[in-house]
Amino acid sequence: MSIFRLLIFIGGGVLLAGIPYSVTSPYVMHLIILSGIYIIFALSYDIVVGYLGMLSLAHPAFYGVGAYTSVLLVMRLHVPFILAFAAAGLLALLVALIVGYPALRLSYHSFAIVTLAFTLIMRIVWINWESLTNGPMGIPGVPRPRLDIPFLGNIHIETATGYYYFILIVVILTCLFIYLMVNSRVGRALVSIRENEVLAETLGVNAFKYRMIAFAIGGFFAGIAGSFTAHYIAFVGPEFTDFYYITMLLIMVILGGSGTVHGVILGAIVFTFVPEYLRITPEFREVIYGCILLLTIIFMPGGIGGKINDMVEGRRLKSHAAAGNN
Amino acid sequence: MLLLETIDLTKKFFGLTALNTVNFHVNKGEIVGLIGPNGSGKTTLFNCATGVLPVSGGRIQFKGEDITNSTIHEIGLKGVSRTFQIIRIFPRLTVMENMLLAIQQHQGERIISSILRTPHVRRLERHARERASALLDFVGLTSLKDNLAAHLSYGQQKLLEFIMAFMPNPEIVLLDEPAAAVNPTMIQKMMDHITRLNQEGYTFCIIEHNMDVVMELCHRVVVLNYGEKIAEGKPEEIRNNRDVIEAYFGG
Repeated sequence: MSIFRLLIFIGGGVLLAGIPYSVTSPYVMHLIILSGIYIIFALSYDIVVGYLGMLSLAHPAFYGVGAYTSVLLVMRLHVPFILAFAAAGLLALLVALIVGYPALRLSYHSFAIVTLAFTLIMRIVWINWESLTNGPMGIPGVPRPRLDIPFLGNIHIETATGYYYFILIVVILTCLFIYLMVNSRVGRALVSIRENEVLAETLGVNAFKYRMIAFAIGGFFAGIAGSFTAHYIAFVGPEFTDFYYITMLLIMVILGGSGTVHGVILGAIVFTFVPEYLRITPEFREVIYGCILLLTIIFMPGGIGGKINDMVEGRRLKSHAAAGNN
Repeated sequence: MLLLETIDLTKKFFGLTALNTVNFHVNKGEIVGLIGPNGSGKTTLFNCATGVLPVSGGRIQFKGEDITNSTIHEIGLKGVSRTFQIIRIFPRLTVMENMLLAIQQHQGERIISSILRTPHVRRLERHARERASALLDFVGLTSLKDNLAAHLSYGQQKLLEFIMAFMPNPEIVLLDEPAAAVNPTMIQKMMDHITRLNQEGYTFCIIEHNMDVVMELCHRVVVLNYGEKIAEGKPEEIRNNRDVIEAYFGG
């Protein structure tokens, strides 16, 4: 079994590493890089919405905070990209803690409203703090990332292949961290709060503290997703904190399967490609998104990830029954 | 030794006085019964003692320490375990995961090392699994340990909730109607479990309406009526107490 797994990992690794050499269309390459960004963004959202069970509408704000932070650090203060990239995540984490401190003490609905207000306010800040953000025009000409890695020297990310490998590494590290976290005692505590807060508290779980941790981690990964996006499309503007991202994230997380890592990764990939290939106008896209969300909630509330889990659980029960153990 | 103690405990819900200057205590090693008609304040007393409800007046002490304003998880971590009148378990987690959750916070928080799975955390987890297996074996749920708690029958869920309370090796266990809504065989089982665990040194405070259970199990019985303590004593004294009979059957 472990050799089988090892082979899958090696095979998957070779496949992922070979993508830039087998994909010839720059457009498809662009979508692949974009889906990498959205995997990080959607997983960061799933920690809060899926594992914590709180409807946060603050995620576009963290995305924007991350994007502006690293762009301003690189362009105004000439901070090396990799430090600015980390700072983007950390500042978004800090902002999440500041917003979360009052908001996470509120009820489910009030939390959603407060986080929504925060997103709207941040958008107004980006538009009006012109000396810093260049207002509604945004900041164009964001330089391409330069990585100064000790012993390896300077690496300039200039081609799609370079961006691809960079985001691939970040996606793998993000998935690894989130997978480890949700399957650890910390993840178990988060789920216990979602399932029954009074019981979780009775068992000694400090619900508020764990909510803060989850919200902050969600903010961190949203921040680095925003930072990478800005350096990839060479632009940052108020549209980074657009409410559109909420619908996009919700559809990725809910259709993919909230509270599952593999489902959300799948959801993020599918919903990067599908809208592009459907070639629909943004207004009509929202209508279709709404319909898909409704249908998913009615017919497949656990999403794709939930379906996969049910199938695995069903097979386990069957084999259990067949063995006469049950 | 005095474990749990309420001093002039008062709880008001707006105009209604649910608990009126109640003095109540549980000593180490005891099984104390808490009885009274519906709405007499029994569950409210549990909720105040475990921090679920804020008190309106008086104090609560645990092992001589004031816990009146402590939060639910602080009180839980001090060694107060409880079950609920309406079963509370984590339905979408497995039986084993339910058991592990009941002890992990008592073993220390360790956020970073939990995520990184340090040898120390793995050792704690192994110890937790061993303890969980032993306790599940004790109540006969071993074969169901990998099932989702939601897939258990009502009686099995009740047993799970009951045995979860013992995971952290608690100082005192508050049981809210352990014999309610289960069949006679299960009631007998539950009583045997409580007796055995009491012999092993666990302290109990039990809310129960089934008088046979109360009379057989409890060393001491406290009777509440309209939020006031109207009697306290050995089971046989309570059985013949005029006030108690009046409270239950009306004068």
